[in-house]
Amino acid sequence: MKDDERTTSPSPSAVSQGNIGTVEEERRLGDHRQAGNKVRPHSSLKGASVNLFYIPALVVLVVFIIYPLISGIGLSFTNWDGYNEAKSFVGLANYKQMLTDANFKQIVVNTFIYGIGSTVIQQILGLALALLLNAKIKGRTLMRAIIYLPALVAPVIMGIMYYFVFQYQQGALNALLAAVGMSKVAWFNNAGFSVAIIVIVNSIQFVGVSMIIYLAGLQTMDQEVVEAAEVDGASGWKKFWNITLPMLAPSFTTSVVLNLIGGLKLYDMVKVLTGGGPGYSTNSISTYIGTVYFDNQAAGYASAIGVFLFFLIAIVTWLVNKGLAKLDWEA
Amino acid sequence: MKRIRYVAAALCGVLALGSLTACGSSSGSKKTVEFMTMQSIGTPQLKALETITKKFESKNPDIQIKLVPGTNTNENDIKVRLAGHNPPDIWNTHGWSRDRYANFLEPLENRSWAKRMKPLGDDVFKTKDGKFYALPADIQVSGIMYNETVLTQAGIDPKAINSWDAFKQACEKLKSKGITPIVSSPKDPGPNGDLADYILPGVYNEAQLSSLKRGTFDTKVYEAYTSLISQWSKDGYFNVDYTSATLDDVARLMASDKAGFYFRSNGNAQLIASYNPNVKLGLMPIPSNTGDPYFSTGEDMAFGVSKTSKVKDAALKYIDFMAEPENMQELVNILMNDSALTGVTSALGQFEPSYNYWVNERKTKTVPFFDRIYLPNGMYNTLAKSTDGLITGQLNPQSAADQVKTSFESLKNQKSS
Amino acid sequence: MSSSSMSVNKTERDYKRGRWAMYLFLVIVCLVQLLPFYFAITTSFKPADDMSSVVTLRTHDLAWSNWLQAVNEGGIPRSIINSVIITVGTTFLVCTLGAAAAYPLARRQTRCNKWVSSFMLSMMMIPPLSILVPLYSFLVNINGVNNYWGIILVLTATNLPLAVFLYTAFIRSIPPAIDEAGSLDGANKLTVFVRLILPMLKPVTATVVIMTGSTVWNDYALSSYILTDPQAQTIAPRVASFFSANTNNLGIAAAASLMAAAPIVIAYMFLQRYFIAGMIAGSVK
Repeated sequence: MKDDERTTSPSPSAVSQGNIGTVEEERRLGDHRQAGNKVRPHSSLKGASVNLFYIPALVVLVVFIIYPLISGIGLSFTNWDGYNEAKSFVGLANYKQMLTDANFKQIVVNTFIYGIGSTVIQQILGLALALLLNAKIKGRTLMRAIIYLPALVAPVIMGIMYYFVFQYQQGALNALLAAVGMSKVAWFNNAGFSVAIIVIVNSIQFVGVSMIIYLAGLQTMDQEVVEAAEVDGASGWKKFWNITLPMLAPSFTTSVVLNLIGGLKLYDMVKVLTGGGPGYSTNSISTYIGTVYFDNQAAGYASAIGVFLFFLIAIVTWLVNKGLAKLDWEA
Repeated sequence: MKRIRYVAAALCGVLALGSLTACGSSSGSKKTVEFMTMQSIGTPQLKALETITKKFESKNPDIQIKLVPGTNTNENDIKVRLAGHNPPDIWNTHGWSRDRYANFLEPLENRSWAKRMKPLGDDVFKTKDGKFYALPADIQVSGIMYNETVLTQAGIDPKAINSWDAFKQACEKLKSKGITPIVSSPKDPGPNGDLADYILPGVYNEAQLSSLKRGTFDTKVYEAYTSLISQWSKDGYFNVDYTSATLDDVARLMASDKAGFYFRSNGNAQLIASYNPNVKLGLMPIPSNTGDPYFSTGEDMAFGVSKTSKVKDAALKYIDFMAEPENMQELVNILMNDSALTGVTSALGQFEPSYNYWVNERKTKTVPFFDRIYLPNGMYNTLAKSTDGLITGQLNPQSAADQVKTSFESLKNQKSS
Repeated sequence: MSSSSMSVNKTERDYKRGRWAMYLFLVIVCLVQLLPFYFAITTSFKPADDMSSVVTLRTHDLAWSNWLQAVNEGGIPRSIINSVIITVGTTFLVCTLGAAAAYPLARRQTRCNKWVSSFMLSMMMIPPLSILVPLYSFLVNINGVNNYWGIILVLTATNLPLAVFLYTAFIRSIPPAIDEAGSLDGANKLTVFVRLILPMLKPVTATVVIMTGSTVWNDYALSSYILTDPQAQTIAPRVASFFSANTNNLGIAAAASLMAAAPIVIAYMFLQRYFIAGMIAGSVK
């Protein structure tokens, strides 16, 4: 995230003089000019004393997350059962177990499908909805609220409500099938299909979050740039690709990072819809941690998987962030 | 900015008020005993406990019993509290007072009611030297639960099912009538764990059992069980929606006369009856390959007192009060199992006729829960998961047995290290 | 969506057709989003022995007892009060600490601060189960279980990273010239932040409030362990006490779930208006 200067709005006058082809150039020029003029962002805040502002937040994080996390990592080197006093040091045994665990590969793959699948669906749908609901149309406030609604409800509760859709006996989909004279379907009998359902349901629940982020991006967008482009004859897709999308880059980064983290950590939806089954085939790493920790009474191994998940998400997010930063520059 | 200041001031006010009321409820000279009931709100079980508690509190105005309702994650909740050295004063040990919680619980063999305990559950409840750690309300006497209406319709006489072959024929009959022969659910370890726990005693003979107890796990013997389940699955005996079915879904199947057999403890009939009060259920013993049919017995609802409780005296007083016959009767009336204490009449509800027939007339033998005697603590979930693998076809009889063997050996090592 | 200068009938027709398609799409999406709530409503009015599909709405003998039981036995009102206190307290702390922390991180891009930034972001990635047991033990030791302050501090910690992330991104989009002007006038950093930056953060604060507020309101993973006393319990763990391994009562649970969701939905409706107003008023130039 070194590209701070770039996200500041380009000078409107510079843009309105140029045509679309050179908007980007102008923006870049503008940035360099700013840098050259030494109006660099942190020049106003030379003293490190401003860093005091983040000390309270840091203290809260260290006390309530880092401290427990370090003890948690410590547990990953033991054979603790999760509740008794007794535990002994087992070195890297728990980490080695991940390599031999027959279920583990499938679960990591699932986790990626949940993470990436939800992220893709939410970006496409969220952006489309934001664009449509940014236009001045009737009932847009109400529609925005309705689309955001499921994101306001606890995933545990939402999961149960969605389970009602796919339930075999009383479920809505099967009631619909019965109404048109077709036979009932056991929706979760196939692992691949179940994974797809979980991805879709999770995306639907949280699509409102992406929509809101894009709406915010659209509304803070410099209207003068857009109007200038329109004056220059840009319309429809061309305007969208050349003006709107590049300017939404910061929103895109925010939304992708949030959805990715949420998807990779997916827990409740899996738990409620399939419980991780059939077998272990729809587990995410998070639900697997729960099973290993409590049901198998292998808290040490569960902690090791937790550490693995943390690094996995960190690496993926870092890569994505890196990639997006690049995309930001080129857009 | 003025507005923000107002908001902040209002917030502080609310917080102060909130903390006052929160403290207010726990202060005073009363001793507060926290009791994790593991029963959810609105259930007859929790209501019975509330009745007993009200009676106790009116007799002991200096003690307040805080009944904490349970959730789906009861077992996790208690493990976290134990790990944090902050267990509740009393909790429902539900099958694990000796094998899981003994280190944390006050031994109760010296309480006045101890001599009233029936011997039925001794094997799974007491240690070798006669110690035990909870007040049991009832003892599970579990077999195969069946829907009587459905069996009668299909012309099946449960009294004639004395082998797995006969059971299989019954399943075929049900299937041909479009009825689900056996129900189970993977969402909770219970149904699959019980399937294994109930069937396993009948696949081992005496010699094999003692070798298992010595720590040798023979997959060949275990495969008798896994092949059985695998075959049932291949024959299409389990509910179609098995992979995602909740306990409610299977209870509804039983309640709506769409399913025949359920390998589950009697207490689950409460849930089934809540969906259809007119449902007719019965109980039959489990066929055995190595002997006569039997019932599986073990701890059900039981209450232990934390060894480290600050209000141990009050908690024990409450436990003693619960053990009094008239109070215990209140609870046992709804548990549909054998009462654990003498002086309390068992109330098996709709299982009464079949239970009387099998236990009192036919003198059917009882065996203790398999995993509590022969397997290391922590295996119950492995039993459930490997059974799940068999039902979904992800495991074959051999790989399922191997999985159980691996878990058996690693847990044995964990205990000995 | 928009066609500014083009004329011709064909475009006009296309435009109208596009408008219809757009409305149809939006209405379908809205229906999909509302369906789960409809199912919850149908379920909440059914007695347990009504085994009709969730699609059918019961029209006679509505099981109001489900709702009454949720209120009387479930203690939903008490837990709503707890949730309000905890949500408001946490959200307030998250916004203040988050906005303050984001300011130097957005404006002073030193190596150290970049490190602090990624450090905070990485806190979002920790699975709750990885810290649960050690965190619980720690809270027991400092007497923070079943207390408002304990859970408020914990949830502040878990929600701070997102807030810092959103605030940082937003502050970066504010031209630094604004701070410059402030500091030229001789104001100190705190004054610049409070007087100049803070008022501009309204729109992003609305986002942070909505996202933090709903996360805290719905928190189950940690709250269910930290708040075990029914008197102190928030709404999500409370609703969970209608489900247990032995007995579920979906009707009561559905009623309780709807009651649990109502306050946050109402709060959102209110905030959404503020959010949009804030957007227009505070839009950055």
